[in-house]
Amino acid sequence: MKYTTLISVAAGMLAMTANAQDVDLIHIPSEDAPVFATAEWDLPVSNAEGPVYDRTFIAEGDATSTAPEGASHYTAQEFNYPMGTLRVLRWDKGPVIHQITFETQLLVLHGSATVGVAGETVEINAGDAVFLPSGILRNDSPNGETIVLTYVVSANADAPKAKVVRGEGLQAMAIAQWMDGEEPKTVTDHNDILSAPDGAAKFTVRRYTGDGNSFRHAVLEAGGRTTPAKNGRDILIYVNKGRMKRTEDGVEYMVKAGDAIREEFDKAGYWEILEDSEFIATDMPFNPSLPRYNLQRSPNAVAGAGYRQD
Amino acid sequence: MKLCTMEMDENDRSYMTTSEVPLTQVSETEWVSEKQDAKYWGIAISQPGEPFPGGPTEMHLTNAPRIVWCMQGHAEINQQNGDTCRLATGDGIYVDGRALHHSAFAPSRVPVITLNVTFKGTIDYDFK
Repeated sequence: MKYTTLISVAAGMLAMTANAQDVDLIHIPSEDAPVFATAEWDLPVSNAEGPVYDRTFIAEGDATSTAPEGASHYTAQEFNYPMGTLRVLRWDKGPVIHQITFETQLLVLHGSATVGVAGETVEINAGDAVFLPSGILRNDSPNGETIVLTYVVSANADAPKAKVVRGEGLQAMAIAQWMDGEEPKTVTDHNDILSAPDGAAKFTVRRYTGDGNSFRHAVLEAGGRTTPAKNGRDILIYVNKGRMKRTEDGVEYMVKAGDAIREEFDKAGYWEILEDSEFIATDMPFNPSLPRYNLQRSPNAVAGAGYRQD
Repeated sequence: MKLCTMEMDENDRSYMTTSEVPLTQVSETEWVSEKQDAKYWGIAISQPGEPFPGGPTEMHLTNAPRIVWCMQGHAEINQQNGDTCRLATGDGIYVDGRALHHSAFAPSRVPVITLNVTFKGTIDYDFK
């Protein structure tokens, strides 16, 4: 009886966890995205014969208890899709230490930190994005919460360059969309937007343009419906405010703040905006020239096992 | 000979390339390099499926240039740009001291034994 119960619980957990190998995976509600307690800390290098580069240890799950005093503690919520991964990193307090590894893009939602961009250390603040970051995301004494969206996605460029894009000063394009009978209408002129009919979707989009990929930050007014559209590649969307309904390929998905959803390549879909909402979108093109990123995981491993190289 | 190599790209991220190690033929069946400025050598044994302390984002730096030879089993090495190379028994790889990488031993069916030869400095080594 005991074992039957355990098996049932285990089976239930598996059923709740989104499977990144599922090519039909579209919507990952926040409650189905696993959250991993994580710790990182600096690892001093002794007896080096030249310039020394920052090294960190990282621990996950129960292994975070092995982190020394002063370590950075945060949670990492993972949204894994076949074509890419989003991790939402949250620090309640400092210090912020996160070694940039496979991540190809990041966007700061709250707080500030420094990170490497093509060999230079730059300060980034809420609303800033970095394409192909490097080094260590760091803030020794943050003022409150820090939330950073980090992504592992490909880019549509042969040799993409690292870049920081500041949120401040980015132009927001205002858009209204509606169906005029069978005909989709999209307007961007201020007066046309004001005269859009009831039921029109009204939103603004700020585009962060990187080299071969971009972020789109959309702010949507409650009450409208966008026109049907298809994408030339998969899109990964993180909803950071509100509630919307996505209809794609005839299937409806109710999404809310904290969820991720994928707009699938070449599938027609539209949005109904149920509350004032916001989302962050980026491309996740399938790139068969790159091997799959390593997703082996052992949450309770002893920190540093096998990797001490003092 | 060309040696599989972990290096840094212009974005300061690790990637996989090759480097040239000059060899001289000394007999019909042997080629050797010049004497190199090695600092020390070591042997590591990693169990297949060895747990990874930080999950999928665990990566590490050597802060020293070195060659790693796989003496037994298989190792899979990932770079920041997604490049992956699989070392089989007898394969070697050169590591730039700055190249962040992830080493996986899960593909191996037997314990992985590696021999590393570490050179002077913390970044790069020019083979003679």
